Amino acid sequence: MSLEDTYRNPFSDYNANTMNIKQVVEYWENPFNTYLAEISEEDIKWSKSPIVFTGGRGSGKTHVFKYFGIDAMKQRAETNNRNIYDAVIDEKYIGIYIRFDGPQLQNMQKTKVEEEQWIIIFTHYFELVIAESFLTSVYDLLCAKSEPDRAKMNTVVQKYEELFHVEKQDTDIEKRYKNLVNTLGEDINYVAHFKSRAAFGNKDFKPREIYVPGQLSNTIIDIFNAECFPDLDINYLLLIDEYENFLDYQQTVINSYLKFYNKFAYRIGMRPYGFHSYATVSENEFIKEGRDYRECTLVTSLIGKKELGGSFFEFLKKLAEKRLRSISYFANKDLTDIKKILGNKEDYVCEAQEIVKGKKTHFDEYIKEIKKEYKKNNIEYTITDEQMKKLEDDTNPLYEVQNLHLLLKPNTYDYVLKAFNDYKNGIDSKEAQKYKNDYLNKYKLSYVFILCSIYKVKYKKYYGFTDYAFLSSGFVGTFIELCRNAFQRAYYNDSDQPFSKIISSDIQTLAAKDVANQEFKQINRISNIGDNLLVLTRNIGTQFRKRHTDKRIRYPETNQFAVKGIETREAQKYISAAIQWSVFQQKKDLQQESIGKSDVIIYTLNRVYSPIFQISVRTRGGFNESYSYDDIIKMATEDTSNIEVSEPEKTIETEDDYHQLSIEEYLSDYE
Amino acid sequence: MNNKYLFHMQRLDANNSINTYDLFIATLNNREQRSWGALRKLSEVKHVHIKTLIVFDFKNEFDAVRQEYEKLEIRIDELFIVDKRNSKHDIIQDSLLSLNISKNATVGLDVTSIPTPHFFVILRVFYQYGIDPYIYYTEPQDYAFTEAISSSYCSMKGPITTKEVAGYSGVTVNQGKSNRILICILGFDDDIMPTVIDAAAPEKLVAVNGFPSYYPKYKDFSQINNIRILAGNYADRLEQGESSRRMYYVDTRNPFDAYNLMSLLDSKYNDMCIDVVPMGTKPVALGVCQYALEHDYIRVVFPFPDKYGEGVGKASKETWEFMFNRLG
Repeated sequence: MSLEDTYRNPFSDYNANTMNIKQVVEYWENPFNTYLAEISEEDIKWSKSPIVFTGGRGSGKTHVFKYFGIDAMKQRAETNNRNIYDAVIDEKYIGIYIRFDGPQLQNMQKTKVEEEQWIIIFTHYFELVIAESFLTSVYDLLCAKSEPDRAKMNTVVQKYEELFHVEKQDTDIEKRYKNLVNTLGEDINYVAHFKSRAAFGNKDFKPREIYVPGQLSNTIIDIFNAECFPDLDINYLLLIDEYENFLDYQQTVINSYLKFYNKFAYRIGMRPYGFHSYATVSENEFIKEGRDYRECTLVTSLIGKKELGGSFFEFLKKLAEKRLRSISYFANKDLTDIKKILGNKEDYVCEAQEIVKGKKTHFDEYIKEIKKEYKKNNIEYTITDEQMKKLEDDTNPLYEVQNLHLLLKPNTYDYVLKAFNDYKNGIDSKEAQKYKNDYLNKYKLSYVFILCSIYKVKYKKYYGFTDYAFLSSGFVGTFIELCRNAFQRAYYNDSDQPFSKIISSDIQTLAAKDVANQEFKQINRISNIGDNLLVLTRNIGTQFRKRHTDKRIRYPETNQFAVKGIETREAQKYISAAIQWSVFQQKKDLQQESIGKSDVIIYTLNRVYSPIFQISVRTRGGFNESYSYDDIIKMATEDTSNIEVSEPEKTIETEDDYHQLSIEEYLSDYE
Repeated sequence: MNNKYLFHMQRLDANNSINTYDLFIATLNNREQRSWGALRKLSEVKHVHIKTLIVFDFKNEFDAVRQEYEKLEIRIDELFIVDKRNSKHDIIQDSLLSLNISKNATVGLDVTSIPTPHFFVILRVFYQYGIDPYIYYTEPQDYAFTEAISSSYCSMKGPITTKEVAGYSGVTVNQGKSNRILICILGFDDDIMPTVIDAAAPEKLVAVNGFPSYYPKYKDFSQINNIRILAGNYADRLEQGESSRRMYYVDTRNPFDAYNLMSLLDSKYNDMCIDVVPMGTKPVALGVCQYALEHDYIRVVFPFPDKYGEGVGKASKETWEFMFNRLG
């Protein structure tokens, strides 16, 4: 069998909107048993209360929703040679997945039709869509009972014909059922035609029937359940995706369903800050988290940290394994561990060697800074070239940078030499322990960024499973896209023997850059506010970049920021939009702004942008940039990249200082 | 009775046979000289008479070009400037519907500088009136790139919102199914199509590329700038096109070729809900528009920007006259 027959990019088909149902089931990896432990599958299936899932594009919302839809249940039943009817009895739920598209909803406004009338039209439309989707979804169930019962099906069809005021046109039950579905489809299309007409003066809305809230949605389940599952408590889920696409008044309508109608158990998917309205149609009633619905986020900011069930790392690894196993090229070669294809983690020493290429320019650069520092502290610089040579290590430029960095702090030459030699020779001294801790736990990656800066390397490398997991920033879709891009490049680079070895760091870096650029470009196009968000992101990223190229490494790998002070509406508008569109991510809990300071809300840039700004993908904690709300407005409207980063009040020096902080995503398997 | 259509397409020059227009619509500005293309050509024809000229002036630019307007050697009885000073929604429809245009009126429409979704709306009004306008388009001598790379072309600035074009909402369900397919007429902008696709979320995509390009040097731009659709992370939903390529081709200058392609795709995907996003050249968009007018189940979506680009075409080349002629 040729390569073309067996190879396909295992990470194509990454968008759940386009996956067929077989892929939805095949590629499913349960996040609720690993990194999203705050909610369980059982909650999703059986809780009667509404649940709101938040997450940006790529967080997996659509995949989750489709997985809990009845089509996926049918697919699983088929795979296990089971009847769908029996599967529903076992699982005790039926999920109806509905997606309303944004352009459709956007046009249900204005065009000389008053909002009050749009509310009526939209409610009518909403009822129809629920009914049509429900009937389409449960048809197989009606036909799939273990003991076919035409009388029961006839009863259901008859009652639906009465409910929808559709005349019986045939004796054949299947045809009558299809006629019901088609009639509802035509009723739905009437609304689309109305929208087209209304924009040109014809505002008469005269559908076949006008449905009011609950008229269909409350009754269709009762009719169906009474005949099919009369003695069972089946939970009927209504899975509504992309809630942020609904206009304010539309959300008001649907919020009312969440609050007042409970035949369906609502599962709502949306981006963060996707609620435009918490109002209901009842003037004094609002929906409130905790009381009327439960909220759960599908994105974790703790990439490496283990949650109760496992970490995001483990989840990604298993997900990748499933995809690799589904392609015969990889399955046959037993190449199903993504770490073996991407590599596990970066090799900073190798990177450093490639950057310096045997040169010692970093010595020259640091010596300039050391001399300045010594002069500032009234210390005479007496280190000779011969002495400096003892701080060299041709096998590992990172040791050299560490030595120079320690001198710059300032530490005495003798101290630095002792620490270095003790460490290298395995002598267990206090200096060696400190040297080891600095090297392994604090600064190693920072040294690579410094070398990139000194040697004017255009791009720091981003490669390995660990980096890719971090770049994904908690979004499954981003991880899949990174892999897709890397695999595509690897295949074209070596189509004779692709993946015979680990995909090169260069190829993986190109893939990471490409994805970063694509995502970054899209910021500009975010509705209403994109140009400001682009400027804001660029300015903040540039500030982080400056920290990364600070030879003193006062704040290693700074990539988080706090916003404090008196909140302004304009600034909050930018921040909320940035979070909604996953440009920023907000840390779950309050954290210290910096050492010794109060707890505040901390934000990060979406880590996928890291290759653009050449910054670390991890979070070391310790220091966070701090901005006022006025700073945010300024950075959203002007180019502030020329503004120097502020001088620190205190440099983090001691190991104790670091260990006092809550260092997130600290990888226990990193070193 | 079934209407039959013949197409009409010719270069506009001094031999133009139309002498009197009851209504003529254009957008005139000094950013793009070709916005004057049709009127200048008509100036060369003796005794052209326009009873009512409507200028859509949403950027309030007409005052700056009034002198130039007054030099036109065309007899114009009435001039209406439609601007946003008395800002209303649906301003295009309102202004045209208030005119009570006769079905037998001779109407000219220069789409050169009218944004695509706007002329879709204008044509919808005329369709409602039963009028077949003469449609004019002036090709650019060249395109404006802010930098020497293909990705610097920018017809739309900043944030965009993908919406249905008014009057072209299509259908939501087709034969009991709501699966959607999006026909992407590729343009030069390199970062817009993904946003439209994310908003419309179709299950399948069809890529349509204009060919030949106006100039050989641009022949690959639309493909390069839409690489994500053709070979990147959106390519998994791309349908097979012609001759094993994942693309269809359409004549860049000929709206009737675009019309025929829409007919072909409609037949092929008649069990799906069809959406189309008409980036690409105006003649192609025109053909798409005509097809969508006649088949109201086709939905037209468009990325509406906060701001359109300053002027993407440079100077003027040929001016073409089109008409979709209903014979009934």
